[in-house]
Amino acid sequence: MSEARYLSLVEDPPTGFRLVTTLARRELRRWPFALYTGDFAAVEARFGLLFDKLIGVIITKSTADQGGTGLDSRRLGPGLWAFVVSEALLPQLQNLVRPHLEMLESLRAAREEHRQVVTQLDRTRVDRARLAEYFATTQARSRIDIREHARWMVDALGALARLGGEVSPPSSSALVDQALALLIREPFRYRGAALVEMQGKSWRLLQDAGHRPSLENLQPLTSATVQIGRLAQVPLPATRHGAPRALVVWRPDTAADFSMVEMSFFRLFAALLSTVPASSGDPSLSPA
Amino acid sequence: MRAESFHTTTLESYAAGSELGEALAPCEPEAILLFVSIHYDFDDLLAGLDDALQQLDPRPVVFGVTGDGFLERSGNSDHGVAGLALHTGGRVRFYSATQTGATEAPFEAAARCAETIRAEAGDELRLALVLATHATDGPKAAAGVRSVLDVPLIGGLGGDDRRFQHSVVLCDGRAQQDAIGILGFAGELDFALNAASGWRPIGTMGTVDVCRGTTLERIGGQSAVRFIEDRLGTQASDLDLGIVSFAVEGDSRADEHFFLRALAGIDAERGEVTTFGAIDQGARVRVCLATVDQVLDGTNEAIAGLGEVPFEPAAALVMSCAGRKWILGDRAREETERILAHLGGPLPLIGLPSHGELGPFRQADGTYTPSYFHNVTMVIALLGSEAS
Repeated sequence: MSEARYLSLVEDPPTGFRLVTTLARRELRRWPFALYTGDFAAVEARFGLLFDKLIGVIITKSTADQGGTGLDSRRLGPGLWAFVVSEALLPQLQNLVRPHLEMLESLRAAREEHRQVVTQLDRTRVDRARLAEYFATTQARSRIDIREHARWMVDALGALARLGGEVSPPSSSALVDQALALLIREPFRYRGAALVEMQGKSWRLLQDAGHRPSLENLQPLTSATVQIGRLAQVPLPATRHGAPRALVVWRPDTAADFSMVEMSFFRLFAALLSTVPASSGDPSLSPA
Repeated sequence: MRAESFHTTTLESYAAGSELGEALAPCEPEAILLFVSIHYDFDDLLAGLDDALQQLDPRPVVFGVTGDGFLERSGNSDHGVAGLALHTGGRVRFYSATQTGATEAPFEAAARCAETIRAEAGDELRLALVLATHATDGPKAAAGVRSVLDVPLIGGLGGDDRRFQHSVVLCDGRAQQDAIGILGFAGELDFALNAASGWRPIGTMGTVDVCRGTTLERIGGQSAVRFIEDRLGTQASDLDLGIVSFAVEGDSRADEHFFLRALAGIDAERGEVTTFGAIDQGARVRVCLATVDQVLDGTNEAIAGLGEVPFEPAAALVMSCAGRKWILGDRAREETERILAHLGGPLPLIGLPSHGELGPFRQADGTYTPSYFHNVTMVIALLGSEAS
């Protein structure tokens, strides 16, 4: 406890107290204080409105009328006390008040810790509520997504089933044409689709529908189904004869990647396309 | 210019104000900017600050707002107070004014406030910091200030601890609710400003066909919801609020910059969406998204866009959307770290996690676009007062 916080408005202050000629609000509000004054009423008149906010002790000397040889105290606010001490105690006033002031300092620190804990708890509650809200929304969104994916798959398989009946005559070229065109229409609405074949070390376009995707970014020969930007590259199952082929699907300019459901469908679609002979075995499949 | 920044997370209001004043007083500030959390008795906070600055004559102009915590060069927090002290030796003069009624009549309140600043600062005005309480219509308030002041504007809307209930503007020793405040910088002020978000447009642009206030009904011949979903490639939901945003073309078509309006609500049945701040009918918009990394890329873009700063910055002031902070989560501090790293050291800096930002884009030729009201954006201002 700093000695500076033992203040006296009375000349010839008690031992350990510092004489202040002009008492500033800051000296009473910044830290717990002990203020020795000869005029309690004057202090109350000036700072009475702050008594609920002050932490300290205002000390006066008992008058002849009050008599007494010890110390009387009364509470002025949650952290503020008034002490009336006998003249005999003045030489020991600092020693007398110090434990009380140290208790008040502890009280002040405990209050601050309490504020910190309450504030952090409040914040945690708000953040938790937001998180719970987010979780609930995510759950609801996931249910919708599952339903949408199931519906999409039903629609996709339906469209695929109808394709079989539409192909007439069922030549290789017509089948590929119509199959790729299928991916451009409802329910797929992809931007473009293509069948490509590996020649040497690069892919060449065999047939396509919709917007023609750039082949520059396609992966080299790979057995994995991959997404490259807005393209899905799906290898056709290898056949005994013919060069490796792949299905390429170009999605619209949306933020969403191809879903797992779509990628699964592409693998099925690619498996069906693989039944169509490669270009080397079918002259009708000439490069575009 | 000499500057100092400091923060405290002490919650006892008078003590917090005192700590701040004690730390900033040696700078002999002519102005102190405050970004404060909502947790204080503001009379006590300002009293503590004022008492700690009692040796300064004249007392500095004190100006600030509450936000969702603060950014400061030595730390960020959800609660506490950060202050930036500016000393210019009289080269820069500071003028402050506030006006209440910002919720009901944002344009008029902003314009009246700006008129007070113009009357005091006159032609010497160089820059204005505009801060308003959270329920203020940002675009209208910005338009109100711009209708009077022909200088770059920076600032934002205040807020609270993520509850969207309270905020106050601090000015002239008072805390005011439902208010807009302006701090005018006049005289020999050097500054560099920029804004960026990191949000990336997806899909094609569309024109707002039908809207009312902050509600968008139809865009590009579609319902607003369909316009968004076509670009998302998935159904729009509440998960997109505050993240999916509209990039709105600036006033000048030659201006490549766009400002953002984040989604505030989705009405799937009516096909309408609401945004944090209105978008004009006829405006051309694109749907935007950002990942966490892209949000931080936006910080880099804001800094890099400042270009070659032709003066020695003495301080940095940042308005960064609280939504960015919530998206960034544990990485929120990286925004401040990136700024300080770019500036090459611990420059005095404070920042406001705001509920809407105000600022221009710096263009390649060093001039500024008009000062737009943004969402999910970071506005940065470097301040100094000695030409290098």
